[in-house]
Amino acid sequence: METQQISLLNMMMGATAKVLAIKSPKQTTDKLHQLGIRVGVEIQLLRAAPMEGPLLVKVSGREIAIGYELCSKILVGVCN
Amino acid sequence: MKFLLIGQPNCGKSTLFNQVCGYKAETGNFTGTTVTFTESRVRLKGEVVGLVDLPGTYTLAGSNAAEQVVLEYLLSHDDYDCIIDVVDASHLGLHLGLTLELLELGRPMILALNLIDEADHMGIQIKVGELSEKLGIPVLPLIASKGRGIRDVFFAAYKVASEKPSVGRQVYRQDLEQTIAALTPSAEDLALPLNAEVVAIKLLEQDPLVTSQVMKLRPGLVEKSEELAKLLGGGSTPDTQSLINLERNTAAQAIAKQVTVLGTRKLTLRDQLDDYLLHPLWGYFFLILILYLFFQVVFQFGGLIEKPLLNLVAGLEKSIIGFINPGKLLGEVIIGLIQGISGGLAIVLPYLIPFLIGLGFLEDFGYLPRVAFLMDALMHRIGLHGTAVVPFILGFGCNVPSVMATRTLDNKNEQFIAAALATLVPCSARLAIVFGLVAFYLGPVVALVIYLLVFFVIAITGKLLSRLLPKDMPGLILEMPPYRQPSFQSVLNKAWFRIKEFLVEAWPVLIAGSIVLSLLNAYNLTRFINFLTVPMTWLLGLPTQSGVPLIFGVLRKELSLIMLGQALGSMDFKNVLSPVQMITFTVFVIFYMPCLATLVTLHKELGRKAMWNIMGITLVIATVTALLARGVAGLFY
Repeated sequence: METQQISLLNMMMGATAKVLAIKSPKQTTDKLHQLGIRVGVEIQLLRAAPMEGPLLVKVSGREIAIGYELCSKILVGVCN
Repeated sequence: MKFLLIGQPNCGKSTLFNQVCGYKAETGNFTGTTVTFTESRVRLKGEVVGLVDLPGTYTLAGSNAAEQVVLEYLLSHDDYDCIIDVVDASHLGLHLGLTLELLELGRPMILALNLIDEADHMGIQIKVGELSEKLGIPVLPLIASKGRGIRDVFFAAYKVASEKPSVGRQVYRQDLEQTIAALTPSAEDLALPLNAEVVAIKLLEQDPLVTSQVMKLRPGLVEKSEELAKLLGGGSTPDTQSLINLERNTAAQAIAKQVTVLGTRKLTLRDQLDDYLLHPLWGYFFLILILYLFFQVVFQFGGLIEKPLLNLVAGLEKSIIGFINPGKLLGEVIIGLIQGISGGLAIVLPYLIPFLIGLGFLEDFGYLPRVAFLMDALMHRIGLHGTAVVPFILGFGCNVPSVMATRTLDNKNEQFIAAALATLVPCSARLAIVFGLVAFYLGPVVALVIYLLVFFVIAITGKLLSRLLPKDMPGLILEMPPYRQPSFQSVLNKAWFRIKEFLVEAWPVLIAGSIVLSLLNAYNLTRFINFLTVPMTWLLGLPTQSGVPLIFGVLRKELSLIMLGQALGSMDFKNVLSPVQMITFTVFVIFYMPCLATLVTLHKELGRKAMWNIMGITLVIATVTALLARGVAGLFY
């Protein structure tokens, strides 16, 4: 099994993946950490708003909306 | 005796506070509704106990102003006897992170396990006894919204506060523990209300608040902690804050896992509702439908009571004028007073109250974060986040609550832009002018065009302001709470809480302005004002007499139409104004300067400088767009 590193934006709707890296500025990363989004956790992509709107993800039972730009900085690993 | 309520956003902390203290804290199904702390007194076993509601925060090292309030409070107060930590039982693993951080304080503490009904719906059972054993503090189940378990929580807090049992924290990984132990002795006997160990941990976390306080008291300690932090990360400067937080959160998840029994999840309404309300296409359809219905109800209701209310006030005015001599100074003051009071009544009672009640329902239900989710992409184009959409929606009712709502935005520049744009949103008073003048005389299509112009102007202004005020836009991060059934009591209380702010802050100013206006009238100073405003009225091609209505329209925008009629000597505007003048006047009134009540609120929320800036910006926008409207309208009429 080969793990591929992609951004949240390229995840399939409904799929679950492991967070590999968060490349946002520290303050933003801290805020993500507070909501339970950190390297190593499982993240599920639930929905996306149109027109480059935010994505809705689920992390340990909590649903969180994340802006489009920021999503490109969250890298996850999916198995091919 | 004094208890502190601490918890993460959306844990139901303020709901608990309000259940106990009557309505004093603002709650909402939206992150960050409590921005500063609220203190109240409750009677418990014949004793008066102080209860402090602190803003929701994910960790003590808060990332925005509201979150920092908690640590600031703990750093400046030593007189509390028990911490009531409120957690959301349906997301126990996430909420326990803060609990473990609070345990480090070593203060008497209990855990209120709120929302157990929601956890139950999700098929989550929590072994309360085991959780209590693991944390070493009493754990009390609670359903704050329904008032269940509240007595037990407070009795437990009372017991803990009287007996003061010792509280221990979680043990972290070895190297971290060694570092803490190495630093703690030198943090003893600091003049801070925190114990030495907490100070050591916070210093290792490089918490800016604690570090700056210790810097003043014992600078050598800060240096030592920096050295130790370096060692902890193996030489480089590590992100010790993340490291320690990770420790806490891992421990929290482990505890949660051990005390939770997962059953079958009852299919929640949430997933089904979100399939529609957050749908990429239907979501917007429902958004428009919900907002349309919302405004329909508000305006229908407002219209229903506005007329009889105005008649009542007019009758009152007449009978009072019959008693006094209107020519005299006192008479004029009284007339101004009555008009000011009735002005407030006419704004608040018919539209603001139903508006705030309706909004309270949408808020407690959990719809507002969904609106933010749907609108984030659009708001981004005008330099804002989806979260800033709330002030905009509010703005259609009245700009006052909309400016108040900008306080939940973290970034100062973003708050300024949101407030400036929110004041451009045509409130119900300006709607009255658009309908009374343009729609009535020139037809609804022209009114619609004006509304489109408004949105266009807001978008352009937003773009320009966000260019001028560079800010890093970290991107939307917003928790999407589950839907919750709003309680009527809480919605009513919240509406009252917000109306009270209007009554206390803005209404008195409105009344004073109204008195000044009637004095000007009495001493025939209006001609002088009209003379002063000639450059403006000439530029816009408006009658000279429109100077006074424009100046005093700042008191109440819908008043400027009535005053214009009085000044021109006819309420039938087609005889005294050309269509081009009607359009120019309306466009100018929509944009030029927020009304006095809004200005007062801007001053309070954003400061004097921002208020003047917004006044200037809106004046420029109004002049430019009114000139543009004059030119374009000239082509058609």
